[in-house]
Amino acid sequence: MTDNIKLLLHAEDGSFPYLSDNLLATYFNPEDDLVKNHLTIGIAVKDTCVVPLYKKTGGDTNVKKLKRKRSTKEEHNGTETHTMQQNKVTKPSGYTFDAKPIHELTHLFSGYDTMVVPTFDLLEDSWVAMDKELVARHKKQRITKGEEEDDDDNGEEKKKRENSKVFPNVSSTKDKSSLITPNGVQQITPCMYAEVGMKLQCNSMLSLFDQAHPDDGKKRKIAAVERTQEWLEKCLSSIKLKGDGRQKYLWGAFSCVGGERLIADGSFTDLTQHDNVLLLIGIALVGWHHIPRRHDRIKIVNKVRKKVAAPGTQLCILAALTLEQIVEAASSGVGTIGTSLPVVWARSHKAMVSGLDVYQQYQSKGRLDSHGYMDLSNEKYRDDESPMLPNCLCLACKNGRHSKAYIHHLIKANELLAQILLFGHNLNQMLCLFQYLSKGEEKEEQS
Amino acid sequence: MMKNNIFIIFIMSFLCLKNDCRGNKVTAFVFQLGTHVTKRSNLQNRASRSLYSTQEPRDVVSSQQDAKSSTNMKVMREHNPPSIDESSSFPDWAYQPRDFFRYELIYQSKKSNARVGRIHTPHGVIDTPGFVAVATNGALKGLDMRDADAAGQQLVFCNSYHLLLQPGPEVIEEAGGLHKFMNRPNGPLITDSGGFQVFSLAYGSVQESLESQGELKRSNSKSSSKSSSSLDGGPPVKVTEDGVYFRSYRDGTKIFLTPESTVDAQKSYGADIIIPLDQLPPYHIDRQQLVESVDRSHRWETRSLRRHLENTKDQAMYCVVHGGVDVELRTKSVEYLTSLPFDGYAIGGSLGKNSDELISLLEWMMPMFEEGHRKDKPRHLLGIADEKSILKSVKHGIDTFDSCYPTRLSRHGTLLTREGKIHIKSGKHSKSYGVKIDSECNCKTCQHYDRSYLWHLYKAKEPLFMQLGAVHNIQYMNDLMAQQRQAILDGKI
Repeated sequence: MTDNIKLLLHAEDGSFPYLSDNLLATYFNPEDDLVKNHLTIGIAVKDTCVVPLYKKTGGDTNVKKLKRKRSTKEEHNGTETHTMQQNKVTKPSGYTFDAKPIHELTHLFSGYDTMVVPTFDLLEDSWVAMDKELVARHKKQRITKGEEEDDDDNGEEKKKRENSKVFPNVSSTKDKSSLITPNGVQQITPCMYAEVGMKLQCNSMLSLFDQAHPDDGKKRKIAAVERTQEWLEKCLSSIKLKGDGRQKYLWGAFSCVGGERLIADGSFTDLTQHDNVLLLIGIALVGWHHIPRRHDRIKIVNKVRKKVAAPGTQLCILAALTLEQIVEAASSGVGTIGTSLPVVWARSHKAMVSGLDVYQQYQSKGRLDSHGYMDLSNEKYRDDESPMLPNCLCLACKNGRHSKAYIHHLIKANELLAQILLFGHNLNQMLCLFQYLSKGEEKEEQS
Repeated sequence: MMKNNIFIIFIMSFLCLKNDCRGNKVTAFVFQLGTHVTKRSNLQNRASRSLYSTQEPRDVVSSQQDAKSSTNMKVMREHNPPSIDESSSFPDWAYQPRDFFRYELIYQSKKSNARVGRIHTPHGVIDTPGFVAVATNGALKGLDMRDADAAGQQLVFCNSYHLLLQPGPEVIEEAGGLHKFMNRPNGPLITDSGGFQVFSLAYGSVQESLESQGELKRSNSKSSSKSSSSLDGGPPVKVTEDGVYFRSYRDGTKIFLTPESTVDAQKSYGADIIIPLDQLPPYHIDRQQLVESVDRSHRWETRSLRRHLENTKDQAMYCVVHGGVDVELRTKSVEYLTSLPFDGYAIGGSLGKNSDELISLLEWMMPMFEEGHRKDKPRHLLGIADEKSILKSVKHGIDTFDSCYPTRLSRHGTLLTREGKIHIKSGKHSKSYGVKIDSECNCKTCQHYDRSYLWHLYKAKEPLFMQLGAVHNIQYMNDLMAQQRQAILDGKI
């Protein structure tokens, strides 16, 4: 087990989801050991905190109303105009990322560990851009399917994707990555990205990456891996040139889909020999969660560790979709694990079970009895006066503050407070789980 | 009177029989006289049961302008005394001051009817004049109660109707009441009866009812909301003397709300202040219907009070004064309801079509609350808490105001400032770096966030905006009331 395994929390749009300053200061204070040792806030440059929102020229930008069709590109008076459905958003040519220190852009407390990423999952972005509800449904199916796919991938997911025709045209070029932003698809070069990242003044940064889907062809996968490797080089050069000489700053992206073959071929650069190795904190395994089989996911982690990373180099994954994936990754030696589960579960009315229970179940049985959550929209909680977890110290459970019955009521009444309380609870238990995973032994929650 | 009539009949009968003159004719006459007297007596009893005299005093002034004259008001009161029968049917102890609830007058303005006070409840104190935030479903929209408490919120209003449908009184009672259910042990709560929802189901929102000229929602073919689903093919709401039928907007179940059942539900909720069932007619209504509605509200409120007094459970009950903008009806309503042992007075019913009409109503009505024992009890204005109305209503002696207006505004991107409202979605705020919402505000939002970031959050549809906006608007309202209290104390109002 690695010490201090960190949760990389997807801070959507640069804000700590749901939590006001008052609640953050009380329950997730950056000075608390649990937060200091186990939490990193991930800021994606494609988010609105970094990408300025331009005046609309017409239509409604409500994401839920976006239809499932490919975006079309039109040229108008030399200015690229992207049309996502009926909406026309005009932006000036060139990249338009707003580069300021992150604490000015987002008003996050100083003291949190922060990381800049281009996005958490290019493929997820495209889903989210098209239909948030569809994404939630498909994610649920993938999470459910994730257990089955370990043994039998019958290609159903592939068929669904082919039939749904939801992907917009987000293919990158050799020199630029395409990111889906609220202004439509924007392209950014590695040097521009490095420049933006450095100006954001986060504690660390992930290099720009291209990401292929497991169902893509061999050529596409190889292209994605090669581009990711090239862009890492360019990011490193930019940082060395323009940076302040800091070390251990950059996470080198490694595209898992297709990457394994290149490791086997020996054609992937051994980063341990890199000239700028001192700048590297470690390797970020991009697209790891898209590998369908558990065996293959563990295998690639081990291969990267042996062949690519220098001894002591940390490993990171950007997006884990399930608790099982989180525990798997931690068991494989990954030190930073990204996920949006606390938020996703809060939105779907789910409260995480005890982090200790998750850890113990995995240790003793190698699997979880449940998915690791309680669905509080279930009628069985209507009269349940007990807190979500008896010993939990979160903003909802501490001192028995709120009962399951109250949260169930809030869910039924469609009150936002339900999501606030559930997110606070889920994040707290997730951090506790990471604490247990780090130390590899039973620990009582610190007060 | 009945006894006197019988005595007269007896005497006459005795005299006739004694004289033994005219025989059967005398007997017949006496019998007819007795019958006539009995009938008249029954009529009078029926009149007192309907709470009003059946004969209108000829010198009652009905126009609003003349009614401002206190002399005319006095004339009306002399001819329409409160029904003694009803008020005397409550036990004496009900009229005694409560040890768990009281209004404390701190300062009475010498320039107006404005006053500073405190309402003492079992779960805390409310400084008045004060703003009451609305937590419809037992939660403020997008706001944890800790944030609301930090923004200075004291009294919080919960809607009985919504809680009746979800989660239900039994769930809340099992949890130990609303204070425990919501976890607000040190904050006073007030619940209403559901009467307002009767109105909104039948006629739509206040604005809709003004526009529809009082037409029932069933006539509006465009209305497709669940709440307007009809009862057995008819209007969505059916009002009877016993209570009101309507359908749950959640699952369409038919529900019958009575003055007694609403009190029972509010007993389960356990709020510090409860409100009896009343009927809220629309603004556009003919006078006869308004009279009937007011009568019914009075009968319902009396029944609710009776049920409440069977077991007060340390709760206070406010009456709801009705009468629309009709001087006479409002006066009658005040006279009658204040004669009953309520703990406070809520001004409800249709309050005019705009703020000016509301203030005009308060101008002639509120002086009545300065008389006698009425001034010792708190006064609440139901459903009104926009800044303009508050500033004018405070002068007329209103103690508390409730409205979902500030929290609703914040959800739609409108933030309150001392210089007027700002619409954060406007592009001009996108580069307002370092600019607070309100330069004089000290709320958590203004301490840590500028307009530019709030613009960003709003445009990105981040739920965090809803919280930050609500915190600011609630604190703004509480600061506004604090300023009003200070201004009264300083002799400025």
